[in-house]
Amino acid sequence: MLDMLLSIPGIMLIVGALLVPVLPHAPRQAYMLALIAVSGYLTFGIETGVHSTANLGGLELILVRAEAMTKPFALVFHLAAALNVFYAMHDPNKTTAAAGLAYAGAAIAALFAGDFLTLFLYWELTAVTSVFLVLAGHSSRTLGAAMRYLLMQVGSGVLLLAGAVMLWRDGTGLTIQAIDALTPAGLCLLIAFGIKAAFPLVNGWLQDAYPEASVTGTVMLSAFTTKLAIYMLALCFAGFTPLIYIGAVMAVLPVFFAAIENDLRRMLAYSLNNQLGFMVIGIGIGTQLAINGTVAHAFASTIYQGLLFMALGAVLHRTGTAKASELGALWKSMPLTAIFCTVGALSIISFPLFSGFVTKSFTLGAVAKEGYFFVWLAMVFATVGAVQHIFVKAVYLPFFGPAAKPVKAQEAPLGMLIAMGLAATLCLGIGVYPEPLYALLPYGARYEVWKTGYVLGELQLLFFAGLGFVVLSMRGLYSVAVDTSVLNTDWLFRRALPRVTMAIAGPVLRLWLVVLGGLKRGVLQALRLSEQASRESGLVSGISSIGSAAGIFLAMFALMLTLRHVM
Amino acid sequence: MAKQKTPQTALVSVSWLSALLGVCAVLAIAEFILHRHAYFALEATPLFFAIFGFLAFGLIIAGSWLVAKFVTRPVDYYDTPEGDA
Repeated sequence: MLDMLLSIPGIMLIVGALLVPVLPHAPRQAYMLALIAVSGYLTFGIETGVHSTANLGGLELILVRAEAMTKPFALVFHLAAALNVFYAMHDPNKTTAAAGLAYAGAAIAALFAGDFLTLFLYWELTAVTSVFLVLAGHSSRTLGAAMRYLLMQVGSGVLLLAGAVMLWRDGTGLTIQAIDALTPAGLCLLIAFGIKAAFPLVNGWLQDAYPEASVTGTVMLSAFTTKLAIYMLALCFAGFTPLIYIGAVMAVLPVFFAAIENDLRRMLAYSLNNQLGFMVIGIGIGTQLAINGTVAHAFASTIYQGLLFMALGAVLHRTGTAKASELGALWKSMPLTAIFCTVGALSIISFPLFSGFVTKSFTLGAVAKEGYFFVWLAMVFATVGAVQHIFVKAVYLPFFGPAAKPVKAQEAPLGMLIAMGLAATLCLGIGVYPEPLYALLPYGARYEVWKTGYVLGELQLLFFAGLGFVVLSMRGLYSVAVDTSVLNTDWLFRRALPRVTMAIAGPVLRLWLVVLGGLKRGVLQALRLSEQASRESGLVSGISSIGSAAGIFLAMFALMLTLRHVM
Repeated sequence: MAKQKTPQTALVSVSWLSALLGVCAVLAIAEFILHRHAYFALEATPLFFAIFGFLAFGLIIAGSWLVAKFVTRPVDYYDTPEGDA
């Protein structure tokens, strides 16, 4: 039994995480790295196809199944898990370490789930394990953010289960495969995945919760949940055209929010949302080239987005702040972090020779080939957005720009530097020599990125965007962000929904109180009347003359007779 | 975005600026030497990416200024009691 359990990819990490809290600090790090290495090695050997099934009361469950795109995701999840261990090496918090490992395990197991019921189990497990990472934060907002995060994640799971049940009932079966989105079941699944992929309107949890986690927690969070959702969308909804436009909105809108946001880790959460947009566009296009683009981009972005979260987390760790308005000239005190962060930034803006360039270009090329001009333009625009919020705001100004006031800091701890160094090496390695990554992609389709004209266009775009920054800042039109609350779509749940509820409940409550008051007055009036009538001199109990008593008796008798006659 | 209270120091030094201008000039000239394949008619216009990159940056700053008017609130916005969900 245990053998079979452990043969499921990821389970080794989930079970292994139970031992993490009891180990002393140094052995714990070695143990976690060894566990991830063994799990990675075993997982990487799994070939495409169904490997393990189980029967649960007549339900055929597919515990382990690999698709063509499973391998790259599984590999990058293992890489991210290992980098996270290095990054958190200075951190004595055992809960974060254990939760992070189990979270990675749940995400990896989910990749190999072959049916929706098995997926549901791991889907919820990623939610339950990751919430501990949010809870590891220290601000006064942590608890609220964690509960809102859990609500959205579990909500997504409930929708997933609902979709699964509907599929099972209408005879389609529980197998994870291409699903028609325009059926009730399909819609449930689309929204379930959409919540975790931070679709517009349901993206609020991402920017709400991620920056509230601890320095190490945020880095762990950034890798798995959203990419798992992208993977599931690619498996079930490739070629569903509305996704192209949903993706375009995801790519463009966060650009403006990222420009306003002062907290650089929250800004990165917007940037992550923007990157997910590119992937969702690729899934919507659905051609082999586009899906390759999505998978390659998910792989590369997990690493460079993680690297950026790591670098700015290191800044927060060393300076106590991650606010753009308070940082500057950090390269003097944190030169290595500055270099690694620059590599991450060059990757995300898809600068030639860095990983974003050789991966994002696939999706861009696929969109151009299919002739979606405005979507293509939106993607190019979003790239300029990344130049603004990542290159200028998160790298140039904090590390190389002028300091508002002197910031005292020292270089990041060794573990963080190792993690960032490895991630930066991967970014550069993939950018210079992408063939090994290309070989992992599900299809043979390629996009020739190393054409002189294409490289030239990309360089022009990036450098002239930089020129835009210079011109604006010289004219005093580029102002560094200030401290504000930037309203995001979580506002809908935190303010709008309570307001609407109160707007409806208020009048109903008032009406109810009016009716209740009226009833109360009526009852009192009746009591008073009956009390008056029963007094000594009252209508029914007072002393009356014999004549009038006989009159009343006669009247009653007449009434009874009439009633008898009528009935 | 509100203006900063303190006078803004130069965000870009002269050496950075001249280096950037140099690269931009080279890239602009290269456009007329190298062939750039285009999928769309607009993309084929000379210096499309240069102009688009420059304008898009301005558009993002202008757009974010406009968006900020609607979505920014005091830092303690969610800390004020209004029945947080």
